[in-house]
Amino acid sequence: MLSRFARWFVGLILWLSVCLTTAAWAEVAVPTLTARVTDLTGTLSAGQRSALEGELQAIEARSTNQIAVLMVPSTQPESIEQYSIRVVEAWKLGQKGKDNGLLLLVAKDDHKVRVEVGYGLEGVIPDAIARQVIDGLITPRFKQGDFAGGLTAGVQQLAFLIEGSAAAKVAAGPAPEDASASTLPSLRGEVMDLTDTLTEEQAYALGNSLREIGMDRGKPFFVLIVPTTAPDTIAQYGARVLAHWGAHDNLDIARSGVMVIAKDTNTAYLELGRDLQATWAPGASETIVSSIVEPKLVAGDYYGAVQDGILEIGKQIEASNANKTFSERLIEWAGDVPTILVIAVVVVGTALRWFLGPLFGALTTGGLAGAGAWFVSGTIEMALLAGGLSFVFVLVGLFNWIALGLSGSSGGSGSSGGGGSSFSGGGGSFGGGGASGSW
Amino acid sequence: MRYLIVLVSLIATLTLSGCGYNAMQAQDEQIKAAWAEVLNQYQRRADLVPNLVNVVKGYAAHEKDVLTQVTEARSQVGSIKATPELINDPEAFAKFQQVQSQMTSALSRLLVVSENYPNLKADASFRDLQAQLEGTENRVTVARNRFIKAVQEYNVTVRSFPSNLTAMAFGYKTKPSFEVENEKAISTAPKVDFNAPAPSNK
Repeated sequence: MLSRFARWFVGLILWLSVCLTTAAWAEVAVPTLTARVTDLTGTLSAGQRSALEGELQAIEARSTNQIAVLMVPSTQPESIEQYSIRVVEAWKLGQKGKDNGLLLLVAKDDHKVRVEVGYGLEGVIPDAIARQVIDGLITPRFKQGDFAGGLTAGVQQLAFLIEGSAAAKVAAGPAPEDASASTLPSLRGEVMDLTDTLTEEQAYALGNSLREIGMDRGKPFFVLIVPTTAPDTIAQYGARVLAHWGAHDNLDIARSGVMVIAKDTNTAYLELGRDLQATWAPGASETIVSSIVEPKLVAGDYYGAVQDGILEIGKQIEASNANKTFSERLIEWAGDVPTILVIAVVVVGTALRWFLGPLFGALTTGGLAGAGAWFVSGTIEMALLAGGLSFVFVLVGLFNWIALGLSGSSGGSGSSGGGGSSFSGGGGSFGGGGASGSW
Repeated sequence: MRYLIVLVSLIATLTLSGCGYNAMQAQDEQIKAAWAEVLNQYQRRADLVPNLVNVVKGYAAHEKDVLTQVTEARSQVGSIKATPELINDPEAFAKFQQVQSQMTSALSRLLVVSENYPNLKADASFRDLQAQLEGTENRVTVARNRFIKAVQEYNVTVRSFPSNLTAMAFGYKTKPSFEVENEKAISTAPKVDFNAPAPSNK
């Protein structure tokens, strides 16, 4: 006989697990944009297409504006405006935030053409101007069957309008960056060697071990080798670099650290975020620098210096991770559980439910998952949590639904893999601005 | 026991989003944003009207009917306070929709009439205004469609299980959306009368 509390608890868990299934379902529509010029009518020759693509690519390289050309036979039964907005909603031309995308759409058999202008370009290409470009440059050429000529003329004029305004903005003067900040490198990887001292393989190997000791334990650690830190002292430089990464590269600097090596003086310095400072043994970073890293630097063994330094840093991070609260451990463990284990529980649970029925299948899976979690985490709470969740989920047959959902969604996304070409939209938005014309 | 409570509350926070609370918040904001865009574009259209009327007057001053209709529709649109709260008041929402659709039909009639005046059609500023008006009508359509979609998403969440329980608990109700604008115009076939004298001949 269950106590009232236990029954209430089981009821709540069942209810919440129902909610969980709804959270697991989500659909994503898949766009199929593979090149800047998409001609579904077979009108353009390969040469014309690549010339136009080159032009569009140059425009994006110069000013980040994304222009795409699409030729379709017809947009019926939709109007060209309806079709066009659907295309740009899927393609997301233009950079996110700038919304500087533009679509030139031709419906050849409908004799319709449309310029769809992203939000960010509505100012430089108002509807009346778009209309003038269409009526003045595009449709006269289309009338004579010169599609490549019309497209090129149109694209050139639109680019001129866009870049004319961009150039004007640059001439007006961009907000000057903080002069000292520009000398700090931005975050590009675990190991950043600005002196080309390490070979590529060495940097790669060191990066891997840094990830293992740091990032994988929730404490990202980096190595930065610079020619010199002058005029700053190495400690000032380290502090500034970490703060810079926090401000510009979204690094959570409280949990992070960086080892700076100045090549001119063969000195090293460990800058630690607040959390690391609090958990490391006092004096540990000074010891690592003075007794392990710097002697090797002086001896000219940069790879060895960084490698041994990383090993010691790893020990410190591991030691500091050992004494932690339950909730910290829970968060870390939840982030740590390899997907493969979860999948294993799903598969095993589904199979056992199939063979043993809901109740015994759930009991067995729960027991296995609990034992597994206990083995991995070493805490009884974890074991109870994993076992209990697996038990409930298998009992209500949740995994069957998830498996169903997964197989459904993977079928839908299959088409996105194709193409292999490099062009994709940057996330810009459109609001229906632009103009249409006919010939 | 203590761990149990921690555990339950943890699972509750993780799954409350599954029960639709967060989704409803996000969708509500989405509706607000979509609605602001609708208002924005209608405003843009209303702002175009005075210039358009002036240009048309210059070439077709005796098309009084159409010009008056447009001006009246414009003043009616202006008389309704277009606030974000409009979406929560079905009556005011219906009224707003009605005057805007009057505006749409008055403007389209104006454009049809202007087809009869070659000089007007050739006027550069008229062509620009026409392009702007067409673009704005298209923007209105896009904004309305996005608004309809946002409301639909929200209403589906509010009414479907299990999030409807969350909605009930917090008192969230479904929101009104646009209907097909000119239902009457679509359902009645257009009349063509060749005997009616053209107004310009009077």
